[in-house]
Amino acid sequence: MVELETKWATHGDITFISGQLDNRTTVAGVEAHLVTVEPQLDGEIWPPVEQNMPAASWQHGQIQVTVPVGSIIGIGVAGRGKPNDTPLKIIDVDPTETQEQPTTPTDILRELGDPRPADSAIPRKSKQSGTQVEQPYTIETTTEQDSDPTQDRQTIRERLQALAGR
Amino acid sequence: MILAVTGGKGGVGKSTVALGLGHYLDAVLVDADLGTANLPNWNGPTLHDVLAGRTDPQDAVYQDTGVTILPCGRSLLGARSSDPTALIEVLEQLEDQYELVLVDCPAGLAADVGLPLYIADRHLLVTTPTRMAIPNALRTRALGRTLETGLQRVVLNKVDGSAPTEQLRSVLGAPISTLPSDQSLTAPSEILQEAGPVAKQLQALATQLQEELNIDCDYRSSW
Repeated sequence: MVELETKWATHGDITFISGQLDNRTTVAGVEAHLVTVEPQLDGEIWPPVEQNMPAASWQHGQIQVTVPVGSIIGIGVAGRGKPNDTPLKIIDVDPTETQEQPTTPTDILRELGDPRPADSAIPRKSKQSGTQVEQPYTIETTTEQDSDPTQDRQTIRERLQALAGR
Repeated sequence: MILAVTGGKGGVGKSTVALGLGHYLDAVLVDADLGTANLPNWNGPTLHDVLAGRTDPQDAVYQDTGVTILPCGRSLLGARSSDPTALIEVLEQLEDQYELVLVDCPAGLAADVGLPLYIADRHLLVTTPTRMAIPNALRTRALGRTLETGLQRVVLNKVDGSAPTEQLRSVLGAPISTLPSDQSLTAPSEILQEAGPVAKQLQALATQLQEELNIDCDYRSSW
């Protein structure tokens, strides 16, 4: 049984929503639960970000996280508009395994940071010049897995986080 | 085989080492420094264009004074317009065509170092024997270990007189190759005209790497 505790705060028309997924109730034979949570705002929703990229947990407007049994995991989003009585709603809870996932190039980008210059650092020509300015590339943030099964995504991600914290 | 030339700190000589080895080992050398490239460039397409999907890797490879290079563009917009994750596929494609792909990595520990390390078979860590450079070399070595890319050798560059090679070998955990200091070298491309002690040591390093990595290439004994 996964329980969700939600808090939110509004500043102007912006709402910050945070939640705790509590999976401390032991279920025989279950290692973890795959929990899908949907933010409930009447305006635009901004996904959680890691290194300026949508977090790996953000899937088509929902947050999907694996919560190991015996643990609590925090989640959060922000957006415009007012929340209703349940700003975060659990859509689905499925038993799953805490299996290791292969590392993808996108994981590395999320953990180590986008090396490209910031968009705001790019000089733009004025509209009067009539010159067409190339648009910066947008990185796709799909969660397809790399084909190398020998890589250990969770372990590597954790170690990359530790390195980044040095 | 993909061999990444890493270093951590800027100015330790990564590009000079990569350029020299690119020549001696007859490799294709990829300038993967998206923001501050400094290997020889040309007027054709660059890695920026390849990573933005505008051209194929082989169309951006050219020959420059005895080195086969995939150069990197110099513009901020070009860097911004690139997809860094596409580097993985680019390096794999080049590996299909060339016996050895050398990747000249940028300084730092961002994803533009992590991605080449992720796909590389081994890496060559370049550092100088200074208090500023060694900690960065250690961090880069740690990143390589995290991404499970083995450290082939440490290149101790700009050595004046003696250097604590045994101590560094113990700390960094890999064989050390030394390159002498040469104040006359002010840019990586100058190594291509050089026939002095640095070039000789690079040639010896290339011979060692060729044997250690079992690289089958047309070895170049001179420029």
